[in-house]
Amino acid sequence: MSHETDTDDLAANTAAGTGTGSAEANRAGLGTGSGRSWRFETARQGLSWETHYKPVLKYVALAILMIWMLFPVYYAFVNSLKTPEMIFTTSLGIPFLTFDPVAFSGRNAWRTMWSAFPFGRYLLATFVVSVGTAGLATVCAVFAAYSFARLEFPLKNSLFVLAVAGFAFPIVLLAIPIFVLLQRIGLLNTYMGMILAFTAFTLPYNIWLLRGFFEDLPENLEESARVDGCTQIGAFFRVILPLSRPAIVSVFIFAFLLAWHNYLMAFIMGSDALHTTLPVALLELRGTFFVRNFHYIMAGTFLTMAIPIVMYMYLQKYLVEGLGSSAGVKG
Amino acid sequence: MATIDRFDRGDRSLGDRILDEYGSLQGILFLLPSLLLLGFIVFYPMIFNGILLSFRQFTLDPSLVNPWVGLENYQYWLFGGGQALFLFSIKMTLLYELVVIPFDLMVALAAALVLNETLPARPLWRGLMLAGYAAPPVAAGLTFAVMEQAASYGVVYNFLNMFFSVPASGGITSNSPWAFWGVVFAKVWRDFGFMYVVFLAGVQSIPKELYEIAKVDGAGPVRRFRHITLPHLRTIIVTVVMIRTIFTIGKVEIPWAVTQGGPVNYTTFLGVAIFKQGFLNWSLGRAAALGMMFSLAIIPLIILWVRTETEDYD
Repeated sequence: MSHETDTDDLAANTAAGTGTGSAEANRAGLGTGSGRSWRFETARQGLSWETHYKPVLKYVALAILMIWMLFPVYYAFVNSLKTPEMIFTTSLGIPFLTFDPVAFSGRNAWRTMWSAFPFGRYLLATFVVSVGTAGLATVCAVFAAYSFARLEFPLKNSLFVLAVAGFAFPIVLLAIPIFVLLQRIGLLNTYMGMILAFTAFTLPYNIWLLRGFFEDLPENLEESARVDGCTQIGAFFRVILPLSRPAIVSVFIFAFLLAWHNYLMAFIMGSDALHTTLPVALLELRGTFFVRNFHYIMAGTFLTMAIPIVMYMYLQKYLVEGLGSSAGVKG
Repeated sequence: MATIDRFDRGDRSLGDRILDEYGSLQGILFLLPSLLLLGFIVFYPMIFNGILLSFRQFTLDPSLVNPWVGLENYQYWLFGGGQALFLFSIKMTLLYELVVIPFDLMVALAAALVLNETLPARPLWRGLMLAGYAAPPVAAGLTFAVMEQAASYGVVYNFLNMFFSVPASGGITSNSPWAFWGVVFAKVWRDFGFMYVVFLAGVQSIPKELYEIAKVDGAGPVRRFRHITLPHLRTIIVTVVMIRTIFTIGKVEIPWAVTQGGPVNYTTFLGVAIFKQGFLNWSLGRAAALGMMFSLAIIPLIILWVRTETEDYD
């Protein structure tokens, strides 16, 4: 008996101790009459949400979100395995994976797409440009970000603002002047021109992300490395860089994906067959015999989507850390 | 770092002392590759070529001399033959922003809240939620364009047609009020991932005890969301909305892949208008003039964003 009153008092104290919230709860409980029953009442309500609705609703919500998110990917994949005739008889447009021998024979898009269209070359061009961009952007951004985070030089703040502002500037506004410039100096239709341009577009964001990361590292890391006899550059390479691996990996992926995703500049700068990237090729395919090439378009679309999605899945943790810490979560 | 080590200068190597003396030189050296690239690819073309081009009649035909035409390109958009498209595309761009950003916001917030719950295999679901953001805009737009056709395979068309009557000729992508929504569906599917990641990080940073206390006090789920979750996410929401607004204005890929700016010019948002004018009609001068006017409108937004982002820095 005495034990019971003890716990009741404790609960009442906790409730009273939290200020306005408990006042509201008290008001809500007034209708039930006594001070004892409002606590009972709210506890029961809380339980019904926590034990009855929430566990079900969260799975329903997850299922809806996942179906919505993954359906287009599934759609592209399953349709890529069918022949155009099969696609044109889908009911309601929801494709199902059928193990039709025709689809898995020589008419399967995944077998013939490489010879019907130069998909191999598209893939290669996209990889060359993306890897080149990612490499160059990561190296440039690491040095620039370290410089902004730890070194002193004149006009530092203004330069930083300028570098970050470049990121927000829409690429389409730069497309025309860059096109004219690259044409004049003969970098049009070269991997070098594409890599340089993509690197410039992705750099501001990468610098911003890495600078934030470097600034969060404690300064005495380098101090102690230098007490142990490292030079400043040595401390940078031996202490800072290994610690920044998640940030550097996410910067690398971002730059890779920017190049992989980009249509506009790739379309403008790589218009010949050798430098056509996958997004550019896809939209060109769409224009030519859309109906007859339906399964090729679906296969190409799935290929273009699947590679970055796999990369994202694999490096999800790094990316979430990187994105989350950069985009205003700190501020 | 030069500042920290002033006191122990005595027993330092010559190299380090040189570095200390020329600390600012090293800072500039580290920055040099990035600055060169940005200057060469972004700032030089933007300032010199962009401005100069907009005063010329510029085509790629080498036999033409690309004469200077003064303000003629601007006049074309503001008072001449391009006026109707100019005004219409401004209107549609604003409408597009007003629909896409709140849509993005709601879906991203819902996804972040759901994936913050304890779920089996949660990292997998969290990663899969980013499928849209990982997909290239063109691939996403193309898939949606196919799904929005009025055909047996057009799943979005068939679904919408159960509730509304979408004209069968041309489906969603070629009929005027629907094409806009066709672009919006693709845009939200592809782009909400950015907001979702940021919100997920934000939701995770809210102390769990706050929810426990609120529960003890009898606050229901709606109240907990309104009085704990939303206030905590407020600054994040403001920042993210600003970023997304700036980035959505100039994006070409998704409208281009879904509708190619059509029907007629119905989904020709400002970015698409510049792209079409420049690289389909090849009148680069006019496109540059449109781009310059667009830049003047967007630069205040960018300055506002950079100032809020770098507030703590100065």
